[in-house]
Amino acid sequence: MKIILVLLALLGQFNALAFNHTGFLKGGISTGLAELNSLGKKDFFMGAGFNTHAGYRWIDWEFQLSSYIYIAKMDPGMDFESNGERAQANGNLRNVSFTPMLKYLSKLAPRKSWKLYFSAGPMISLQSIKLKSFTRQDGVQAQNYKVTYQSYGAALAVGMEEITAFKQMHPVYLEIMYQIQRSHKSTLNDASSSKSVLTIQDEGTSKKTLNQMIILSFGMTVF
Amino acid sequence: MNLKPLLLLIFFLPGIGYANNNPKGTGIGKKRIPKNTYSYPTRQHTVGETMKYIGWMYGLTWAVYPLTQWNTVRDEGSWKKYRHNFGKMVFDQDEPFWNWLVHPLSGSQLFLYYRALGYTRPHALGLTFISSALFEFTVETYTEPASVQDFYQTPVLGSLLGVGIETLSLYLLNTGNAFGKFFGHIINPFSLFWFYEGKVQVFPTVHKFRGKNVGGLSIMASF
Repeated sequence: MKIILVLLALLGQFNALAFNHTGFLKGGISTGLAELNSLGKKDFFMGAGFNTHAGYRWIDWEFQLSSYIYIAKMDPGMDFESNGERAQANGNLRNVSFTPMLKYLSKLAPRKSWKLYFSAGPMISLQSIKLKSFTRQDGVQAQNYKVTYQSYGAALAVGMEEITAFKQMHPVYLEIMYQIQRSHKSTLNDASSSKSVLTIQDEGTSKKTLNQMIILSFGMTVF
Repeated sequence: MNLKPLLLLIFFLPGIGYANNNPKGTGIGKKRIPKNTYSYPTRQHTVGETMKYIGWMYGLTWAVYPLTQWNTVRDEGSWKKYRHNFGKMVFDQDEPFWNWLVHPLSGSQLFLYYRALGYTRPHALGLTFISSALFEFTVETYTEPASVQDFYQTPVLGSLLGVGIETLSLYLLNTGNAFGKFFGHIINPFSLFWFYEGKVQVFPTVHKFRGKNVGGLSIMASF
């Protein structure tokens, strides 16, 4: 009788620890390829960054808020137009995206104790591009400026995640994501100080650009 | 070149190693027994209790914001601006110094505040989201509108950082030495407060049970 009670208590404990019906935080590293369209030509940039996901898992479904931060070196630089001025950028491109995602853990298992999953969601993002040289409208040649584009889009991901008995075993995931986004607003900023950024001009983007990214992510459940 | 000091050092080093392994003599090699053991026990909370803890933190943010950013509050803040910013959410143009360092640091302390109060990690993450959102939407609006990046990155990157700080501080605090305790508390100041529930004194005991001497552990915690 004692043994049965102990087993029942242990089973209850395992169920409480099982990775379902619980909140989670996941994080990892990413690498990928970004395609930016400017002045009628396409530029490709390889970069790296990290991804984080906070959400809730039922059994096969998860809802999560995801963020992908991606930094790429723009070398060779990229020519583009901002506020009627031509400029050249060859610093860093920073892309920060936020996506509320619905994720389905399928029954498909490409490997033992791994499950294939699919996730999708709308996306908002901000691309920041540092400008090497820029001629302001008052004729002054300026440095340390940055242009930011706010974009709307969507993200679609397929990946596989380790299925473990407990969340405390920190299951690992590997994912490939496709993002497509269209800019709707651009801002020119004086970024000479790392602590405060002065917005010089704020305007809607007359030429809306369509950008795409493919991101490969690798990470784990932190808790 | 005078090699005397170097030769003396080489001569004495093995001696120091021997003394360290020898418990006899002046006490070198005695095991250090920490007075307190630090951990993060978790428990259930009532809704009223949780509301009270959120309220304390919310009140604290009203005091901490002007204290830590007096120049910003004085130069850029006004109640007229507060009404204008209230309910708005924008992409801020801040540099990584703020978004990837300062905000996650403050988020990590929010996370550790709720952990100190006995919340599980997923619950602490959720409460950090709430506290951070309250600050973004009702306190910081005095100087600027709520920001998309801060809304997500403060609790999520903050909790990731918080887990790291929690682990490191527990390791340092449980060494029992002055250095470990000093830096353990510096990086995790909420471990010093009266409401921190994880500081316990553990010591071995022997007591009679059914006529036999039974060894055990006595745990003392103060609330």
